Amino acid sequence: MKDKTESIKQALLTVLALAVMVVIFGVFLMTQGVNPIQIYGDMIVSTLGNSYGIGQVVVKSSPFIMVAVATAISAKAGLVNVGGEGQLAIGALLATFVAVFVAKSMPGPVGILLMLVAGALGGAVWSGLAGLMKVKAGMNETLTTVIMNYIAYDIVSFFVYGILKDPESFSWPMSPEIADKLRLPEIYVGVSIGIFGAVAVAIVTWLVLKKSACGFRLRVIGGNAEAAKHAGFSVAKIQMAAMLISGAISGIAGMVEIAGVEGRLRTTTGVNYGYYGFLAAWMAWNNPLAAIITSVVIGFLCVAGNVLEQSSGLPSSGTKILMALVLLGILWKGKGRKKCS
Amino acid sequence: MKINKFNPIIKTNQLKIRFGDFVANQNINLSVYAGQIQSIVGENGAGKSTLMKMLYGTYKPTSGEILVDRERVHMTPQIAMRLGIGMVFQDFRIIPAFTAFENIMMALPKEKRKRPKEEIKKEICEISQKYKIPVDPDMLVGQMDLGQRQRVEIIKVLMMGKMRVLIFDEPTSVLTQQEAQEFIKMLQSMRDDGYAILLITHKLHEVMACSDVITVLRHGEIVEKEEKENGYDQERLISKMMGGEVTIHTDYEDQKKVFEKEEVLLEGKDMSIYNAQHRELIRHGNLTMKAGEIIGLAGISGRGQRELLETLFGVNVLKMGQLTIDGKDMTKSSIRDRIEAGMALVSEDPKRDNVVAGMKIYEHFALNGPEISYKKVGINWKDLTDKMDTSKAVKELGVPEKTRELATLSGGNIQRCMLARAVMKQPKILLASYPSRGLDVGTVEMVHQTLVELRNQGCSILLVSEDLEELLSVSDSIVVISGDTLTEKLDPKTTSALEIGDLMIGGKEHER
Repeated sequence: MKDKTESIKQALLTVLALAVMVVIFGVFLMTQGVNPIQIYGDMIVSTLGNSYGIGQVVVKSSPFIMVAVATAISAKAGLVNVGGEGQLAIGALLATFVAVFVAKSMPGPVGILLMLVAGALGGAVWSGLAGLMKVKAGMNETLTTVIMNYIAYDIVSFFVYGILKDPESFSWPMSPEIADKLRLPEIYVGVSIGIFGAVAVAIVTWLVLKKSACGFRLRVIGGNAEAAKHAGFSVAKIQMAAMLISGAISGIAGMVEIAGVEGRLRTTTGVNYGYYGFLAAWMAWNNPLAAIITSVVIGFLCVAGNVLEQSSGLPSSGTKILMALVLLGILWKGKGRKKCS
Repeated sequence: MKINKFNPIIKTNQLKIRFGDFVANQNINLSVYAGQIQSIVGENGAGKSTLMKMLYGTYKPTSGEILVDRERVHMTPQIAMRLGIGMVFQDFRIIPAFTAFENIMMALPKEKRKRPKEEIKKEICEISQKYKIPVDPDMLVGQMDLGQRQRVEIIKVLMMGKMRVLIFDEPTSVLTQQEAQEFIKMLQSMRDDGYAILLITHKLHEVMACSDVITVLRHGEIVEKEEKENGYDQERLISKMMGGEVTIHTDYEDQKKVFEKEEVLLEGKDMSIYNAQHRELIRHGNLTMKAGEIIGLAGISGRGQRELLETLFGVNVLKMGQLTIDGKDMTKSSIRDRIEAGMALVSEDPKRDNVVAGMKIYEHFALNGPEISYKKVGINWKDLTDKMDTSKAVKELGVPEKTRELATLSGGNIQRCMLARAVMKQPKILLASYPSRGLDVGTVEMVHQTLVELRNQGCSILLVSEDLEELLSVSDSIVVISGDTLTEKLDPKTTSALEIGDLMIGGKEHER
C-alpha cells in the first residue's frame, strides 16, 4: 500500500518536473518572440494529430528503444556504454554489405535473417573491442566507446565513399539501394515491423533482468562489482558478455535502419541515434520498459523539432534545448527519489 | 630548550566530545609543553585521533575548554595554524598529481606564497637537511611511496607557519621498520629544537624510548600517564591499554563435542601476504586449520588480518607460498573454486565487499549463502526465503525483515546478515572478521554460540577480532600476528591476554 502511494507520488513528481521544464523552454521561446502555446500546439498536432505524424514518431523511436535497451544492459553490469552510436553504425554497415553483396540472390526471409545476423555481429564486434579493452587492460569503457564512435563513423564513410558507393548515384556518398525483398515488411506506410522488434527486445530484456538468474548476477555486478567478486562471479566474463549483447542489439538497430527505414547506407544513417538512445536509457534509470516511453518522448521531440523550424523560424536544433531541459528535469526528480528510499 | 613546567602551550580542561549517543572522549585533561614528546597510546577506537582532531580544531568539543597560552580558544584549523599548531594526518592531505613543491606551495599562507620560488625551495632544502627528511621537491607525489609522502607532508606542515606544536597521527603505520627508526630520530631532534610533539600510536614499543610522557587512552578517557623521569612500567602500560581488568568470560569449552577427526581442512605454507601497496605484511606465514576448531587471530589492526583472509579466500593472489584446501592445491584457484570447496568469508568491511545497492536482504543471501535452487531460468526465491524463515541462525542473530534493503541498515545489522548468510551455507571453512563488531551484548553472545555450534558440526573457523577476551573465550587456539610473522598456535587456557598483547605490540625478537 505504501509502495503504491509512493509510486503515485513519484509519477506526479516526474510530471511536475517535466512541466517545469516545458514552461522554462516556453519562456525561452518567448524571448525569441515566439508564442510558446501556439508552438507547443503545433508540435503536438503535427506529430500526434495525424497518422503520418504518429508513424514518423514510431519510426524515429524504434532505434532509440533498441539502443536504450542495449545501454541499459551494460549499465546493469556496471558499464557506461556510450558506444551505441558506433555499434549501430557498424551493424548498419555489415548489414548493408550482406544486402548488397551476399543476399541479393537469396530468398527474402533468408536474406533478412542474414542481414540481422550481420548487424548483430557488427555491433558485437564493435562493443566487444571496447569490452576487451575494459576487462583486459582496465581502460575506461566510457572513453573507449566514445572514441570508437568516431572511428565507426569514419569507417562507414570510407566504405560509402569507396567500394560500397552506388555506381548510379553520381558520386553521392551512399550505397546502392537494397533489394525490395530484403526490406522489412511494413505495418503502415513507411513504418516497418521494426517497432515490434524493438518493443519485444525491451520486454524480453526487462524479463531477463528481473526474473532470470543471469539478470540477477548482472545486477549484482552493476550494484557492487566487489560483492560479485566475493560471491565467486567472474566479473570480467559477465561484463564482457553484457558488452557483446549490448553491442549486438545496437547493431540490430542499425540493420533495422537499413532494412526498415532508409533502404541504403548513407554517411548520415543513424547519426546521433546512439546518443539519443543513451539519453533515453539514463532518463529511464536503465529500466528497459521505462526506456520505451523515454525513447518515444525523444522520438516525438525529434519529429516535433521540424515543426519548430517550419512555424517559428527557429532552427530545429532548438528542440535539443528542450530535450536537455527534459533530461535535467528527470535527473532532478531522480535525486528526490534517492532521498525517499 | 628547557621544558617550562608551568606554562604549557596547550592545556585542556574536562574536554568531552559526543557523536550522537557515542561519547568518543571525556574528562580529558591534557597539557602540552614545549620541548617534550608526548605519546598518546591506546587501542584502535580508544579515541586518540578524535582527541587530536579537537586540539587541531577539526572537531568541536561538546564541552570543556582548550587553552592556548592560558587563553581560551575556540579552535579551528585556521586558528590552530596561526597559533603554531600543525597536524600530520594519517591520510595525507596532499595531491598525487602535483609535485612535492607544488603541494607545499599550495599549503603556504598567502604572504609566504608570494616569495620567489628559489627562496621557498631553499627553505625546503634547509628543513630537509636539518631534520634529515630527504625530499625531492620536483617529484610527483603520485610516484612517491607512503614514507616519502609523509616526509612531504611533514615539511609542508613545518612551513605553514611558525610551528610550536606538531601532532602526528599514527605516523609509523606507513613506515618500514628502518624508516620508523629514522622517524623517531627526527622527532628527537625536533624536540631538541623546542617543538612540542604529540605522537599518536598504538605501537607502544616504538615510542617508549623517545617519549618524555606516555599517556594511555582507553574508551575515550585518560587511564594512565607515566613520565620518563620516573621510569616506565611497560607491563602496566600494556595492561592499561588493553583494559587489563580481569573479566569473567563465558567458557565454551564444556560445550565442545570433541571432534574425533583431526582432519586438516586448510593448510597455508610459507605464505607471504602483501597489501595493496605491495608491502609485505606477513612473511613466511604458516597456518593449519583443522575440522572442528576455532582459531583466534590476534593482532593490531592493519597488520595483515584483512589481507590474510582475502588471500585465503582468493580475493588476492598468493604470490609466494602454498595453499592447500581439503588436500588439494588451491594456491592459484579462483574464489569460485574456494566457495565450492566450502569456504565462506565474513568480510571486515561488508559495505565494500558484500552490500549491493538497491538489493533486498534476501537477495544477498543468494550470494555464497545457502544452496540456491532454480526455477526454469530464474532463482527460486521462494525456496530461499523459506530456508531463511526456518533458519536458526537468521532467527538467533536477529536478521532484520528480509525484504528490507540491506544498504540502508546499520553496520551492526549488516554484520548480522552477513554472518547468518555464512552460517546458512554450512561452510567447511569460515573466515570471520569481527563478526561481533557493533553488536549489543546479547547478540554478541549469540554470535559466539553460533560460532561454537558451527565448530561442533566440524567447521573450521578463523576468527579475527580486536577483543582479546572474545578471542580467548571462544577460540580453541590463538595465532598472533607478531611483527611480520604468524606465531605458532597458542593455547588460550595457558596464555594470558597480557602475553598475547605483548606479542602483538612487541614481536620484539623479530623487529630488530
